[in-house]
Amino acid sequence: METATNEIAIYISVFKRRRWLFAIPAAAALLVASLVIIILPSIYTASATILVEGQEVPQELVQSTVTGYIEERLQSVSQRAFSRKNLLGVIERFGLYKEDRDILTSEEILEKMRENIIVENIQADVVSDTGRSTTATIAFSIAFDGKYPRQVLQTTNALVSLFLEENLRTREEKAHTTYDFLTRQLNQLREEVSATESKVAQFKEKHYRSLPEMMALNLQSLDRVQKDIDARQEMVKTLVDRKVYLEGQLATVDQTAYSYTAEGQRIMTPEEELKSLRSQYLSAKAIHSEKHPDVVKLTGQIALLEAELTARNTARDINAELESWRRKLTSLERQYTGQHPDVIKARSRVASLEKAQAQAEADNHQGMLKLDVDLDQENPAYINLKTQIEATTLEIRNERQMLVELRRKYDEYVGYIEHSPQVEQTYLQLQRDYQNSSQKYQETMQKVLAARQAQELEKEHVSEKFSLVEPPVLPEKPYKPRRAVLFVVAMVLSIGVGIGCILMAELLDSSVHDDGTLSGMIPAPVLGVIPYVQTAKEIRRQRRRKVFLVVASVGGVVMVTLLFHVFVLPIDILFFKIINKVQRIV
Amino acid sequence: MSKIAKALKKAQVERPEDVHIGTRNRSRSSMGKAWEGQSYKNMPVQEAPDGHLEKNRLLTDGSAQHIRDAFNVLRAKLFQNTRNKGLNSIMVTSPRRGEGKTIVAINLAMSIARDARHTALLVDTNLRWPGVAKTLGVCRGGEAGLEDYLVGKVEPSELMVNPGIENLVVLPSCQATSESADLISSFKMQQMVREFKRQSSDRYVVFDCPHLLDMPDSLVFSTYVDGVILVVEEGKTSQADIRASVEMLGEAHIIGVILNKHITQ
Repeated sequence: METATNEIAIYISVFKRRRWLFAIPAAAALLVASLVIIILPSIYTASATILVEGQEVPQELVQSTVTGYIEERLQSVSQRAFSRKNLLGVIERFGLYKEDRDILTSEEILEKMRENIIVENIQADVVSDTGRSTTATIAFSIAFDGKYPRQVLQTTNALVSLFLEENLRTREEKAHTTYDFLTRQLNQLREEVSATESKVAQFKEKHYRSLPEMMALNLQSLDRVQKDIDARQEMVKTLVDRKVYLEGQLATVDQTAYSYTAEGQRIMTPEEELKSLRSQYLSAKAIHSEKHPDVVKLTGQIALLEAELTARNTARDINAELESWRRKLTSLERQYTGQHPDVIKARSRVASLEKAQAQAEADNHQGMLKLDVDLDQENPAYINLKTQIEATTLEIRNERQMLVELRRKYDEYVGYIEHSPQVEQTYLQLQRDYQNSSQKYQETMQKVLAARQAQELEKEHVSEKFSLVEPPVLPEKPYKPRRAVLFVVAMVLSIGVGIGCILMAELLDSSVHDDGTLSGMIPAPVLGVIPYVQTAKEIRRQRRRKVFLVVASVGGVVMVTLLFHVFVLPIDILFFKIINKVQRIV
Repeated sequence: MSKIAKALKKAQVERPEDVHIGTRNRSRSSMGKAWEGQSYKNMPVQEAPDGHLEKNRLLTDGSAQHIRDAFNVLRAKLFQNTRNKGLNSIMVTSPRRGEGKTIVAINLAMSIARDARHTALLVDTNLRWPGVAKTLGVCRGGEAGLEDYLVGKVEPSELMVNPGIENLVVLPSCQATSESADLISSFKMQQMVREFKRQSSDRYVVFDCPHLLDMPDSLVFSTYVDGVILVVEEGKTSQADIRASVEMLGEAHIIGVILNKHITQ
């Protein structure tokens, strides 16, 4: 009789009581699991390692246009390489998943294939440019799982080549796209630059004199013109003075003093002629009578001459007086206002003299001889003076014209200078635009050159590239399922199943199992615990069963061992492995 | 009859006399008038072979020691709980059918009979499914049983049988009846139990009763006897049944419980 005083004892007694409930389900579960493990198809895998080789030309010299994290690129390349079309091609070529084609749709088969492809990055600790140690992908592996070793190898090879091709294609495409894009940009910018350039040129042409760089020149020119103007004015003044002087001189010279007739006779001045006529008259009178034509002619001549001389003298006097009064008036006007009595007096005097002059002139017209017209001006001094005066007058006119021209010029320059700030602003703006676009153009030009280099890099395959360092090999042994591990798991699970059965039975069973519980339930004592009374027949039967069980279990162990030996691992190898392990531990 | 007498004599010779004589005398002196002459000495002996007993899981000399020990412990505890209180009429029942009442009752009776100080009377009151006679191998052919006494055909003394074990008297029922409840609740039955009790104080009367739950028989009968022994089968009788049984018995004195069919390893 046993008394379960502690829990362990209770568990033990429960286990003893229900050992068959434990053993049979556990054995069944183990058997089923073992069968499943043995039946599970062997999966072979072939794997290729691809090294990511850096660019051969130093990055500092030629920058590749293909940038970004290698992992990301690997991802995108693998997405492209293992596209639906490519994979379906591979499936078709090697006849993969033949057994699934009847049951699964092509989409499901593709899904399965993608699951069987494993791209794994191989990382290493590297020191980056910044000096920090990071992990970087230096290589990656492509593996494929399948049931048939040869097929697995072929497929892996195909996948690797797909991957490599796709990578090359992607890189070249990327480089090409970059170059194309930049070239297009460059063309656009070139047009922009030339447009700005022509705009600047037009502007410059239009506002040539007002451009900021002409400022100094303009100022200089202005200065020079100013000086020129001053000089001219001075000149004009001098000339005017000279003319006045010459006119003064002219007044003192007799116009006709040295004139000669065609016969070489000197032409006399009217005074001289009058004198000569008077002497001729006296001599004629002495010879002829008063009525003699010669005497009459001479008398007439004398009278005419006298009249004219009188008129001329009067006119000259008036002229002189007028001139003097005019001068007086001018100086007076400068000093006083118009109301000043002196001014008024001078004005009226000038007016009356002008009237007298006009009168004299009118009288003179009636005369036979005109003072200036009729008389030959043959006095060389007079002519000389006259010519000089005329030359001076001409010169003055010239100078005056020059002055006008210079003033115009001056105004022009002033205009330029005044206009300059406005022009400068627009000009600077244009200039800036031009500079901007030209700078952009330059930059893009640089980029285009770099892109071209990168393209060359890709073409010659000297940029970063993937090289197959470890080609896939024919798998000799399946890597999956790991039958030994699964077997251990199955064993644990079947023990669990057994324990579960016991637990279940205990949970469902409300019957009494030991006197301890019984005595707790009833107010009366437990009188006795009667063992199961076995009959001899029962004992015999039990003994027979025991023998059978021993035989069966020995047979089972032998069976399992044999199966293990054949399907999982030969026993002798296992033995050596165990020995090895033990030795290592010891 | 001479054959039985011979057998008895033979048995007397084989057994140690001194122990049994004392017991016999005592029991005889306290026997009632109605049951006089009903000592095992002069009652018919129907001895079954050991093989038959063994086959029916009854204890024999060749039984395994641990089983015999278990019954001896049971007996000792029973004595401990009853002797001083004068409780000698005991019914054996169980919550459900087939939990081993009959075998426990017979083995207990046999065990008591083997104790020198006591004699035992085993009455099969399981009128519905009588099993004692069959198990012990008594009641061969169309012999009368307890039910015949209850319907007034025979006297108990005519029914009693010795199964070949000293100090053990068996009152079997031989025919299964469907009116067991009525018979058990009859006055005759009650009287009979009272009479048995009255006759001898050192004799234990063991009644093998039908099961308790969903049967009125044992419930009725429990009011006649001094105590009840409840047989419970390990791993089969549910705790709810045990509780229900205890509740049903109510007033009746439960001497104790026996955990039957304990599995020993």
